[in-house]
Amino acid sequence: MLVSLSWRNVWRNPTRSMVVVVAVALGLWGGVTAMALINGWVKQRIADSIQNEISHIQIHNPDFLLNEEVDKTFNFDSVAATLDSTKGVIGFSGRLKVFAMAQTDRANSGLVVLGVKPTSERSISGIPNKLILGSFLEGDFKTPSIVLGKKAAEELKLVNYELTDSIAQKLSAMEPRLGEQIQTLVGRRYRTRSNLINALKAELEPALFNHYSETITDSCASFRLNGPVVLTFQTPYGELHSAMFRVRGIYRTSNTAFDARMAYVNFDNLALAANINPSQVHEVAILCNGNTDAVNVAKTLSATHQNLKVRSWDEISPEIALYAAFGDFMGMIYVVIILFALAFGIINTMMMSVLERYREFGMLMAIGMNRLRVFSMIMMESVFLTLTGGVAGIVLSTGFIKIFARTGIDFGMWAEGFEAIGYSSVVYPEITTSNYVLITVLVVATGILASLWPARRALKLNPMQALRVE
Amino acid sequence: MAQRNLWRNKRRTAITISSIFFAVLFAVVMRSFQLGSYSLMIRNAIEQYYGYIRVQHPDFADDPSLENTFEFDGSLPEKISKVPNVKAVTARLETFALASSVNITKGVLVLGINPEAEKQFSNPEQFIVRYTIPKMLADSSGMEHIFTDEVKRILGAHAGESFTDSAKLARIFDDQPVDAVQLNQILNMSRVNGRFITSNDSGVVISSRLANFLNIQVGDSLVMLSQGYQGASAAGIYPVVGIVRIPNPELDNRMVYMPLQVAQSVSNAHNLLSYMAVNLYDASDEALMVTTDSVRKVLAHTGLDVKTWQDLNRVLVQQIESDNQSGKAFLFLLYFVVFFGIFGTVIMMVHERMHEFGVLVAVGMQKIKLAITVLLEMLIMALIGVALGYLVGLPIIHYYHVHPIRLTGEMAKMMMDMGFEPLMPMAPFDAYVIWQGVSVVFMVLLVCIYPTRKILKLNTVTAIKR
Amino acid sequence: MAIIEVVNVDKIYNDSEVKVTALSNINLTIEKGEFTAIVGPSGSGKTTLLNLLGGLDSPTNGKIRVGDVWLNELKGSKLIDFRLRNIGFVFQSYNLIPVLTAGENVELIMQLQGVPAKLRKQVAADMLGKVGLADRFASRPAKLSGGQQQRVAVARALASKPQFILADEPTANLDGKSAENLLQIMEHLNQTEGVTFIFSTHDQRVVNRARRVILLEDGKVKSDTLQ
Repeated sequence: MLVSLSWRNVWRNPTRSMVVVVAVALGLWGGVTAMALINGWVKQRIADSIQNEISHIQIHNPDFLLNEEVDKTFNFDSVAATLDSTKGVIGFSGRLKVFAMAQTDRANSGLVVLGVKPTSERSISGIPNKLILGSFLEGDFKTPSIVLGKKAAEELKLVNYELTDSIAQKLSAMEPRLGEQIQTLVGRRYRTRSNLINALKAELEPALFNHYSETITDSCASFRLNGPVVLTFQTPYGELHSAMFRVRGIYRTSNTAFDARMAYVNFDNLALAANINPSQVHEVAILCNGNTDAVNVAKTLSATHQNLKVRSWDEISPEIALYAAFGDFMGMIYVVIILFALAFGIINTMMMSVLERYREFGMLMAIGMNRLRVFSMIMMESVFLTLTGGVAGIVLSTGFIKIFARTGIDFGMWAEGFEAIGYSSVVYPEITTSNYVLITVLVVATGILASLWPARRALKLNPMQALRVE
Repeated sequence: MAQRNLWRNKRRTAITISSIFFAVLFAVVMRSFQLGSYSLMIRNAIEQYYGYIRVQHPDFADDPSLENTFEFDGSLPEKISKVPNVKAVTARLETFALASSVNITKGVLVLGINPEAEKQFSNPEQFIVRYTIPKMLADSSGMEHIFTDEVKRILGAHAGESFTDSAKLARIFDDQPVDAVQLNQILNMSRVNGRFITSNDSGVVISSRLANFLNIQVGDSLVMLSQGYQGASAAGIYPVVGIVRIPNPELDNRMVYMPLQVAQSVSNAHNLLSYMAVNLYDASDEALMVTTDSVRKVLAHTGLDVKTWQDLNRVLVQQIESDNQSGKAFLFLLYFVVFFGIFGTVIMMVHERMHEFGVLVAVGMQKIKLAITVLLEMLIMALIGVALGYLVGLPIIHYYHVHPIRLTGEMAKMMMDMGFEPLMPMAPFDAYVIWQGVSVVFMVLLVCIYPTRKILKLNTVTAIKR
Repeated sequence: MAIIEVVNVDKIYNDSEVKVTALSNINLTIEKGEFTAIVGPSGSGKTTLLNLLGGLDSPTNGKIRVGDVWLNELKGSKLIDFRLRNIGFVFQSYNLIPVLTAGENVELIMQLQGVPAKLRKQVAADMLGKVGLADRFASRPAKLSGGQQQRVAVARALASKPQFILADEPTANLDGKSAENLLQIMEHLNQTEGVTFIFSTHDQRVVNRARRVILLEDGKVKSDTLQ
């Protein structure tokens, strides 16, 4: 009943308590949402990183890791044999990996070219599913195929800009005046973005130009499939070799840096062009059942193949595990700061509540309520008060997160900034149960800490003086 | 009278002031840190390399290749430097090349520069590497027996790393002190005899991480293959006369500096420039706009484009903006929370003092005057809170502005991965500090709406009835 | 044996420069079953004496025994616990907790004593019955009249099974009828169940009903009469 007494005491002054509850609820909602955003962001980065970039496990010739020299390969078959029978391995792909300079008729750029076998690669990498154009090394062609990232394709100027009829129609639907003014440009093709921009500038009135030029250019961009690219790379014997490829696929991830660098060609084509023995590989990438599984599998593989360097994702990119911890930590810090700010209001409220009941406390202490009990009662009141707001805040944020977890929150206006460091501009907020538990603990702790001073004050009361009624 | 009222309930006043103090202190420090980081990012990327203003061919922005270079008119840099606020102008030819050393190749950014102008622009000499920890300890000293195992381990962890002075090298032993004898030995075997390029050089200067990757030291040669103007391929071998350690890790991975004439002749781009970069004394947004306009006027007849870094470097702008806005959003939440705290307090206070208010009004005090008194009380509390926040906050940000916190270990690695220097700098006193105070005052005024209304709607009789 | 023994008790307040002697040289005993009033003008020390008897304050000199225990030997929480189990209180006002019902207010003291829930409820109902408020178990103090509230206070004091009940001006805030009612109940309890009542009062109605009247003046016992 003392518990029930504490609870009822909280609601003696409903307005006053509600103000605190609302403050805590809204404050926590903000803090928890911030946490969820950071969490979701980081998780997506990790998942994307593993799915598209580094996989769960990579195996190399230890010497290769020093300087990525082309001749530091190892034999694929022995490793493949082990992997076929290893539990927890979903798929693996043997790859050649060379640095090449890519040249098109309009530009050049540096690329890291991976020679892969499409079926194996599909089993471990998300890239074949991220094609925005073309296919992933399918079909047999005289000139071998290459698959590039969108950013690389842009840098190599494999983009054309054409204002097609359908685009024009869509634009007219958005803004009729726009449709009229671009009429003369429909059907024209432009080699560079700036050519198109100049043409638009000439036709559109300034206001429309400023508002729509970006969107128009973006929607007119189309990539040239079958465009030729000459790759130049170093062979194991130190000479430079060139070979021509045709772009037959373009992919896009949320990491522009990755898109700008990584290109895929058929294993055999690369082996031939770079003069590498096809039984050798530079890298074997492995996908496992789960992130923690991967670490264990890596350990067993390491023991079996002592002459090779086996690394799990946390060794290849220790930063991403760090991002997770860091993100979690930052989120908690935000929540702690909010709770700290809330504590002031709670202390004020509790203090006032205690002081206006000084006669009651005097009476209770007189009839025999000891100090510990008085203290506990006040502490419980404070915890109830804070926790009510806390629960409300958590419920609010859960709702909010649930709504946005599916669609994600789009920070499109900063897309380029995010994607440059590998983060998608669409964030899917996410919170784990252990986060909730920790937050609840922090909320309770805040309630307890906020009660200390008021409780101390209450204990200093002298029952005699409290009851004096002259 | 307002003052006396505050003193009456010291506890409540103190708690309210504390909450404001905390909020202001936190806000000032957090904003200072945020703005300091942006400053640093900008300084590192823009001042060190990009330039606040760029003069280039109109099509260069979309297609930064050799096709969009322009004829170098030698008088232009002079004209531009006469524009007020212009600190330095440098003319560059920039190409992409494939650099290799023995069996390793890597894509690099080749900057053809005028060393004299470049020194004014970004002072690259301050980054000349004087010490590089040798990769293979055993090979280079033959004296490994004088090093303890701990020291060897640390040296191994930092193998290949470059430093611009001995103090910076010594920092790797921050956690594990090393005696003078060992340190001396390490300095001796790490010493590097590099220098920056001169106008007549046939050599190049490369960045430290690039040197580490390609295993090149001062005196070695760098082989480069690049695409020249109008399709011609260009290849050459260049002696490396010096190594620089550029603070921005991304840039440090791939820079090669060579004299402009050499770059031009190798690329078959005689007398052509990719762009001119301009650095300013005052890089604030207003000054930037004004200076850019002035430069445009100077170059009006040349047909060249004059753009600011914000126009051209959308990535950096967005990264800064997104962080900026999220920081502001969090502060907004914080102030919101404090607002509620104060609001609750004010409700209680008004309720407690209803009787007193009733008496005052009955006795003849004008309601407006009473409301203003209450307002004053709140404002005084706010001002004290803000003043305290500034009192503690400003020295903190000043100190860390002058001595930025340097991160180490995992955190440092993570930041460097993202391309940021592992420093935690704070911005000096500026408008943002004032904004905190203003926000607080605004918030307090908002809170005061409640008591003001209550007082103005006061019914004397009911108020006095207990 | 007397349940209360006051031996050579002085109470002196030494407040910076002013020295106030509230009580001096008090010696008295109180037996079980008494219905005693301590009276005297304002400042005579009767509240002080009551506080000392209740263990809420301690004498400057002398000692006080309650039951087998000398109060000066008890400190801190032991003293509070002793009060809880041995001394009942009825104050002039603020006896009840507004957010608890009458029944819960009575139960409260038993919960502090550690009495299990079911038993508590029973006893509370019982005690409320004894003061004539059996049907008001679930009413909150706000719904009760002043007199009823005081009766609940008595029920609570009873529920703790004390050695005696101290009542400090219990009728001061009550009108004639309610005061009579309250006193009647207390007298009844005293006569039928032997509950010891010690009053501090200047209400004549209480004095009239008391069987022993201790008159205090200037901190000393002026008279101690049976009537």
